[in-house]
Amino acid sequence: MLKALVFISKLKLKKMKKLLLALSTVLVTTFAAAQTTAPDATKPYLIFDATYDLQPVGTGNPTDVVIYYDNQTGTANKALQFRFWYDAGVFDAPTITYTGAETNNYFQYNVNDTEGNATVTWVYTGNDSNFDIAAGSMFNVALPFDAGFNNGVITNMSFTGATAFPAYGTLSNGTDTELGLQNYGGVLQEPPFNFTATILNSADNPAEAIPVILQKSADGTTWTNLQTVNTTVTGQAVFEDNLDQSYWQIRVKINSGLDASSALSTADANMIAQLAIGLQTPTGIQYYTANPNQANSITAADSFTVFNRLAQNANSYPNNPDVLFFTAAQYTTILNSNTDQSSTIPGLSTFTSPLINNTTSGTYYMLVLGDANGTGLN
Amino acid sequence: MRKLLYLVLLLTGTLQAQSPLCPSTSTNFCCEYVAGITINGQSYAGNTGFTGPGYYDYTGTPVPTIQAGQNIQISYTVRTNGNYNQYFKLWIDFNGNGVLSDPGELVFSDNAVVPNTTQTFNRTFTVPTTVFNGEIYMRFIMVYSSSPTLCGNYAYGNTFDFKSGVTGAVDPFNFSGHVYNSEGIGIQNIPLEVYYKTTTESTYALYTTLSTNEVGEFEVTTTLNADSYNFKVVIQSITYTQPTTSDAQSFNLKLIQEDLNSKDYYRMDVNGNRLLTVSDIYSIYAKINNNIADFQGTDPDYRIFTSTEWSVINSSTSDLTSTYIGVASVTIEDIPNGQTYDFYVVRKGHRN
Repeated sequence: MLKALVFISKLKLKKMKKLLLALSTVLVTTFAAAQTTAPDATKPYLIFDATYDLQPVGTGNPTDVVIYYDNQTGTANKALQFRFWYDAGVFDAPTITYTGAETNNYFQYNVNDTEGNATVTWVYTGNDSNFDIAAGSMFNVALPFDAGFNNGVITNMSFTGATAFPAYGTLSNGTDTELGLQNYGGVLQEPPFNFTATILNSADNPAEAIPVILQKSADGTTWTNLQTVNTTVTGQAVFEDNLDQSYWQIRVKINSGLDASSALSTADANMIAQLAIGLQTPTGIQYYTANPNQANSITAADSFTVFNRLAQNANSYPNNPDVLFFTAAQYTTILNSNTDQSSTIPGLSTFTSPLINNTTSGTYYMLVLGDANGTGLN
Repeated sequence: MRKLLYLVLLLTGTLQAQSPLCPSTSTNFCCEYVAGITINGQSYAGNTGFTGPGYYDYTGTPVPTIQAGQNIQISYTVRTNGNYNQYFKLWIDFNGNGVLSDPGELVFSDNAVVPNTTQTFNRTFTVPTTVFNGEIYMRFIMVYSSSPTLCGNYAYGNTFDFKSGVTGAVDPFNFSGHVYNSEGIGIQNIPLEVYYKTTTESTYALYTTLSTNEVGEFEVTTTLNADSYNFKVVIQSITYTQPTTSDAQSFNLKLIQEDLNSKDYYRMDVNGNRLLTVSDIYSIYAKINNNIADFQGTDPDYRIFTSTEWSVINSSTSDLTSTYIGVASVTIEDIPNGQTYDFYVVRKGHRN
């Protein structure tokens, strides 16, 4: 009865956690919205958004940077001139296009690829005396990567640089008006990378609070930790990052040294003893979980190992890890076997996944040594 | 045989090329010809038979330079095959205006019956001291039985054209120049008025009006003694036309390439705020589209500069509009003879 109540409470907690997770996702989405409006109504503005996603280097496609226009002054603007800067060490000369809807215009630009700037003019050429430049996306800057670029540091887009060029708008009578240049960041970031790693004790038993590390490597040898996310009650570690999958090798890692004490009990030790003397037949899984000393298959020594750890109140085994990790395919093989697979599928105490490039999710399994009854690490 | 005939025709054609003077030639041959002429010591061959040609252009072999006041010897040898009355005339374009019919330019007019023989006539004339220095043309005509006219065809005789130079005389007043746009390209049909007065008079009178040609050039040549007359030239009333979209686009290109210099403050700064911006470009479009009645500011539609002013403006990058204001009309008085004047016209909103 008590167990049932505890189970129901855990279920409610899980639902609550899911709700919180959903809410946090909405909040993150809200804060990540584009910043494309004028900061004030004193003058018309050209605007760089906070961030722009780079194109994958491997595709050869140029990265698009949108320059927005907004004018909350209530006074019509007929033309504009400005200059912006880009990282000439990363990009070749950009192609700039006018993306607004007005067809009566004269649009020109001049790129200084040495200094990394472009000078832009846009003039209304029609005969509508009431014309006003429309707010919204106005220019697209298509930035092709330099041939040697390798996803290094990129200087942000900017409206200021070494050689100044005055920014102006134009009033209806043909006189100059101040043109604001608002940069909310202009950060060029690698393309979005989303991945969910699910860590399970078994198919219906998620592993909670497992620290999963997202890693990248340019050469497959030297790996850089990007972020660590603990699995939730659903066993999921959700990664939202910016990574060029066409360039980086990407994987997840779980370090060894997990303390699985909570999964161990005398019931496990007893079950191991029964398995050792043949009162129970071990499953493929139990060839791992009932063999905490990792030697000579399942013996009384394994049962003692668990009893002894419990008696010592230790949080680790002397010579073996608490947990071994497996891929889903390996786990399925073990699960479907009634023999000891440990010689061919030894498992990993430090888990590094296969490359997860161009995938959005991966499921991995862990088995707790000594956890013969499959409580799992929760 | 045909090739030989062609060569003969070519040689004949070379001799018969027309000088800048009006055409004149005999069209019939039978009975007389001028066998040769010597002027101021230089001899020129004529016909050798009674078959022509009727015209000789010797302007490529100039008569030795003539001194003002000099007595010039001319002799011409005539051959006839009967007793025929021949008329002779010599014209010299003493004032160098390309016209030989001005007063005093018919040097002599004579006639004589030349029997069936060869006869040489000698004449002497004095070059007036009042003629003008410079290049001059001469024409000698012999015509049977009637007094030669300066131009046109006649039945029997010969025409000879010569060129020489006069020194030691007075200089006719002349001057020339160009009107260029801000890109140094000549502007056609800019009107000029030329006034003159004697050095003792106080007021000018209109001498002539003229317009620049297709390369923006004007040239004033007079038959008036530069020492006795004063001249002035006036350029005004230049018609201002609407700039075009190509002007706007051209200025826009200069703007984004930052290829801006002093003259752009005169022609591109149409809103007159002493800044060269996209607002000037818009203003040109707006004026073309009648979105604005006129440009902002009070700058004139066009300004005229002397070549001295323009050389400064054209080689600088700063705003010189307060230093070199330019003018709407130009009046130059007491022009030195032979002077060349170049003017530059910069028009608001116009690249050219």
